Amino acid sequence: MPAKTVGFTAIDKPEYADYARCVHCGLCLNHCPTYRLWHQEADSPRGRIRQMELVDQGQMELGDAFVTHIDHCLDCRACETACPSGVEYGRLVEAARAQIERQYKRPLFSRIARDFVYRKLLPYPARIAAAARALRIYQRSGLAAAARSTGILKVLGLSDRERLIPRIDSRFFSSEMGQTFRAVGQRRARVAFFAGCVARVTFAELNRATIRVLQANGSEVVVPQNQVCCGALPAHAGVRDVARDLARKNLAAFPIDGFDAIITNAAGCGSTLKEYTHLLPANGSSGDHDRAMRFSAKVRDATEFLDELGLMAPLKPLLVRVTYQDSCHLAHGQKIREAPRRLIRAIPGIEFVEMQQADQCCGSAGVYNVTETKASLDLLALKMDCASETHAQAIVTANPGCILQLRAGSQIHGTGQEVLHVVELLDRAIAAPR
Amino acid sequence: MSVTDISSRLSSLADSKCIVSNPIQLASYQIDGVTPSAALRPASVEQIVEIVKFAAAEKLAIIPRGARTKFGMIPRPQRYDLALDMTALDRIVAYDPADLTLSVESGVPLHRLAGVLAGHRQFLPLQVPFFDRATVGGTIASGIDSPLRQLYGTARDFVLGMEFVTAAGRIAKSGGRVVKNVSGYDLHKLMIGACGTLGVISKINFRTFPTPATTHAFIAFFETVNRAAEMSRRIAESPLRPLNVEIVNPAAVALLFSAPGAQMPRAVAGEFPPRDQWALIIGFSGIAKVIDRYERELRGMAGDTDAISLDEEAAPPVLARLSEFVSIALGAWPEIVILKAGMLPNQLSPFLRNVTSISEAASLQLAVVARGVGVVYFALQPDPRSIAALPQVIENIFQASGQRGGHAEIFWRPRMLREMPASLNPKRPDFAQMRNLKKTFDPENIFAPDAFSRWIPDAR
Amino acid sequence: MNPRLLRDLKKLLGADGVLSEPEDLLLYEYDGSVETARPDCVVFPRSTADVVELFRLANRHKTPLVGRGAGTGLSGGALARQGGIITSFARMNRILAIDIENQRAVVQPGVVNSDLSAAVAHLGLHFAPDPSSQKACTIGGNVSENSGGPHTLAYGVTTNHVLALEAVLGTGELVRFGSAALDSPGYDLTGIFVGSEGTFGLVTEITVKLIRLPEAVKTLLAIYNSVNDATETVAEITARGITPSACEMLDGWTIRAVEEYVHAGFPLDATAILLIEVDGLLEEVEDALLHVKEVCTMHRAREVRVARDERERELLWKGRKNAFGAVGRIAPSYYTQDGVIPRSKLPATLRRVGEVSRKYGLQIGNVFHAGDGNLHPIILFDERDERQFRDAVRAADEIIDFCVHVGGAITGEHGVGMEKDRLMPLIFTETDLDLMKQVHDVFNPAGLLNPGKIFPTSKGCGEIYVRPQPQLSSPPARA
Repeated sequence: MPAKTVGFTAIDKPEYADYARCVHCGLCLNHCPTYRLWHQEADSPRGRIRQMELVDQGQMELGDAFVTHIDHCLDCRACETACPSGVEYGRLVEAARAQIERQYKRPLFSRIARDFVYRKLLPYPARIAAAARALRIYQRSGLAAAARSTGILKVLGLSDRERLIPRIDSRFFSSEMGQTFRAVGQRRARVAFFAGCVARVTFAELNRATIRVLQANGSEVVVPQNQVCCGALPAHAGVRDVARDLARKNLAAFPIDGFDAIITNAAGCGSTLKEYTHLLPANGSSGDHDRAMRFSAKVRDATEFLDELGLMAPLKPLLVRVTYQDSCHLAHGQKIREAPRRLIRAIPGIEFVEMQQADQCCGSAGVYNVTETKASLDLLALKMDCASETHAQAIVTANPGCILQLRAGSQIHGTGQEVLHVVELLDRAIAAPR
Repeated sequence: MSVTDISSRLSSLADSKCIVSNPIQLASYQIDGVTPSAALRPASVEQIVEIVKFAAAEKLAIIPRGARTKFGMIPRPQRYDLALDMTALDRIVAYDPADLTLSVESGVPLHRLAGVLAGHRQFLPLQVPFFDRATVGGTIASGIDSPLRQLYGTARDFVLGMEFVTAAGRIAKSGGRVVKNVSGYDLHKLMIGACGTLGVISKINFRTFPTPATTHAFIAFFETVNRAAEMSRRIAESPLRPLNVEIVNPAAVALLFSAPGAQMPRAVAGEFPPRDQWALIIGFSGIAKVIDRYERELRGMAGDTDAISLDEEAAPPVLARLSEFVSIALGAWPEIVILKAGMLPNQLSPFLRNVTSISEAASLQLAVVARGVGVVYFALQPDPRSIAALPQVIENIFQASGQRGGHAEIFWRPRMLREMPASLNPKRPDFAQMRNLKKTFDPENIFAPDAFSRWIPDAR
Repeated sequence: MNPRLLRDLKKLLGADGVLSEPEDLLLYEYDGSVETARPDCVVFPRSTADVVELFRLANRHKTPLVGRGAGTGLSGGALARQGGIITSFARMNRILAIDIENQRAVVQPGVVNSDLSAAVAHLGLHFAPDPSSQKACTIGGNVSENSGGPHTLAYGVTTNHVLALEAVLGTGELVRFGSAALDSPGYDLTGIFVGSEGTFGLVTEITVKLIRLPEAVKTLLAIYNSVNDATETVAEITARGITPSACEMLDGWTIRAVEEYVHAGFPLDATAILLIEVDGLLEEVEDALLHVKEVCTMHRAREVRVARDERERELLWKGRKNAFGAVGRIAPSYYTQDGVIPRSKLPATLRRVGEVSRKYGLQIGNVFHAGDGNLHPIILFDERDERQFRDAVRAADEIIDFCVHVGGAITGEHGVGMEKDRLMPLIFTETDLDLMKQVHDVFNPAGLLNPGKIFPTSKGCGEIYVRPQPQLSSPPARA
């Protein structure tokens, strides 16, 4: 018999103390997007935890089946919201992925792609910018239009996938790096802005809008120069060493004592930034862990911060019907549900309508829409059904990844709905009418 | 075996006190002129066991009887050897008001039980026909319902457990004496409404209910059944939770409230409008504010039609008459057939119109009480000219109910119909399971053998 | 597993409708209980026709069939105790019809309990049975187990809300019991079927009542220094003719565990709390609330809080609904028991639970539906300690024994399943059980459906699930 991989290796593994909290009650099942799609235990949080347990105690191979089901997980953490026993599922699945990364040999293409994205690209802002410029040429030169019109994308089965690729910004968020933006009126807070990695080339305008809204509400905003990717994507993928490196770089880049808060407009980044202690545990370098604790304590989602601070900028009416999609890493990861809703409702003239299943994942989930396109699109279809039922003109959410996914959804399903970040909506209300 | 044989054999096995041998007394156990060979009045469950064992060995048919009020529910028996009179088993075995639980022997009269419960301001929502005479056991075995089901449900919702004697002469039980229980199969649910065909119920455990505060009622009169049903629907869509909602046709209104024996409070008798109006009768209870709310909302729903409000003095006798519809109809019209139908609430109105025209076409008098939840009682009174049409009318009503997604059964058959084909009920896929259950509980078919044909045409 | 059967199953249900690989089967050997049993195969029918055919195939090979909804049950009802095929109804999860006027819904068995309520909430309706697992458990599972929940005190349990069902019996017949219209003539086959724990048939369609949502709801928290005061409060509320829609009690130890976890605002030094809910017409609720508050104060509640809005109400309920999880955080494992007693016996039963706890040296928390006497002692133990585990089972048995002794029953809402089959003789005689077995045989003559459940068999506690031990490389010590 060929040697099989059995058990987990020492570090970054699902810990007994964490998974033993699961009493397999099953309350998570109906909250799990993949269980709702396929209805199998193996693709439910309870089933995945049991698989980790079985691998840990050598009853199951760390092989294809295990990897498939762990890969299928969106890491949306809706199960954490449902769990009565407080199981920290996100932590478990990320640890399981670290084990897979270490012990499992993926197919060659996947290995090359993962190595490129997580190790060669994401950690380096300059490389991201360079890649973005190349992609921009594709998108703007007519190549993209040509590819679409020839149907080559369809033949390659890429037509939907292509829609999920973000449009590269004309002006990257680069000149803002290292700058300070003064508060409008009396300064009520001084904050550091976390600019993201891919967001700097695809969501530059969102970043600018976020800064404007913060300024308008009396915050001085500093964009520390040396910040890097938060590490969420590598951490979710199990590439812990890279994630840990990035975390350390960010700890160094943000002189936190001078700031009231570290602001991010990306829920996915926010939840990782708030959990740097998971990457830098107490049993490691104690200096790192302490720094991570103090850093994480200051991290605020933009909506969370604005809601706590209280809106001060005068808002002009926006006569629009909107609905809100909870970003998983805001609702489940950071337990923030009400703040974005309160901000939306604060805008005069807005008609706010809740959609069914607002806190179910849209299928974006980091790189999930690229790695598990079919499942992602199935989830997106369910989401767009709920969104169009509301007859909202705009879907508002709180994370760039969700925005991309929902924009693709709006196109694919022809709902004609605009997709906006909460702060973009606020920005419009502050600025409108131009 | 001859009557004398049976008597002598019985006297050797059972306490002689429990044997009714006096021919005059025995005659009172007659069903449709069929007199049993013997009647026994056991005083303990052990005596029932003895009797059943004997009957099983001799293949004698036993019909358990309570107060003997509901013979009309079963067809004329072809086999009726022993009448098992349960009225001597009349003890309240346990009553724990604080636990809202009660355990009684099946021969306890309902009205006596009600008195005991009232002492603790509790009651059982069994406001059934023959209330002043009926026993608990007979009521449960017959599965007869009451207007209060609107709020409290039927026996299956508040019987917690049961003890009964099987055809093998063994004492079995199911359920328990606690209000929530999923231990084992709910055999007692089968016994409810089985008309004694599966076993002899010896003890029944109930969940009791706090007696509601003062009861009031509201009666609205309508020219058409449509409008009455419309108001019933609006009540169902409102937050109101009345005790009962009944649609009553003009003939039933007259029968219940203007007949000579009705003895209605003056306030009511005087206000009842002339015949040919449908009435919607709603009972409700609560504190003064709640009563005000009901009256306000019900008045609003009734619109400009005639309506009367009944206070706590006037309402109870009216609601009591309403719950006695079956017994009152039987008293007034000796030779009637009563049908019972189950119907979806939104089909009540068209169905009642259907039935009204069917019976008018055949010149039958028709009295109807329809519960808002969708259970209808029809009393059909044939005259000598229309009697021949009766079987056809019944069949038409059965058909009408089936067409509207409901079902019907002959609830009470007049003497003249006892010999008619036992049941017109359409065949249903669950007959097989019913038969098998009957066979399982009573392999020799000794328990009320003819009663089973209430449901299944060829069961005899 | 017979390869021909497996092949036929795949032909019937497609490759993605059948699981037979060991790594998949390992994930169907558990449910929400502490029991475990491994199936030979798991199938996912999509229609009634699939289920009919499925039974035919299983029957041909004399292979057991066990229905499963979401696997949230607490008595091992959805486990294949004797192997065979687990039939997961998770993909038969469509709401087939909602009849607003008649307040009925027709659902497939895999519809999640709270999904039905959510689907009709905009109509002002809901499906009343609300087991704690309602956000995950299926209505098919509710039917099989006759599930209850906190609000069953006023609204009844599943059987009170099921009007009709379609099922494939153990005879292979596809039957319909009951009807959407009330009082279907004949024996109450729906009534006997609901709660038969999957031993009579595989339910394929269910017609249920929908109940109007109350106009007003008020939730109140009463805090006590003595359990007796709390139970007397419950008795007095009854005596005043008030039926709360829910009446839940937590004991002091549990209060502290819950508070540390959910911060519901429970005082850490309390001995008991009551969570009481009244609903109905606004006027009714206001009056009932006054009475309840008065009774609480009369019986020495040291504090009475009324939730002022929905948020506060949710917070109070969160404390109750997360009680098991909160307690479960304290030890590696817990065993939730389900006993039922006449509620006047609550103080005595709690004393007994305390004695049992001391006898075995195991912490036991108490959470119960005080209104209907349904208690859920939560026994904490460390699964890695064989002795503790056995003691936990013994402790549970002793508590149930006491429940029976004071006139109660062995299970109020979790079911007998494979957890309490051996306790059945505590309340039922051989005659009772014989008759039940005969009834079982009417519906399931060959015993192919969910065998090994309800009826006592000889069983040690060896079958109970013990979490596999981590390998030596990871020391079991908890942080």
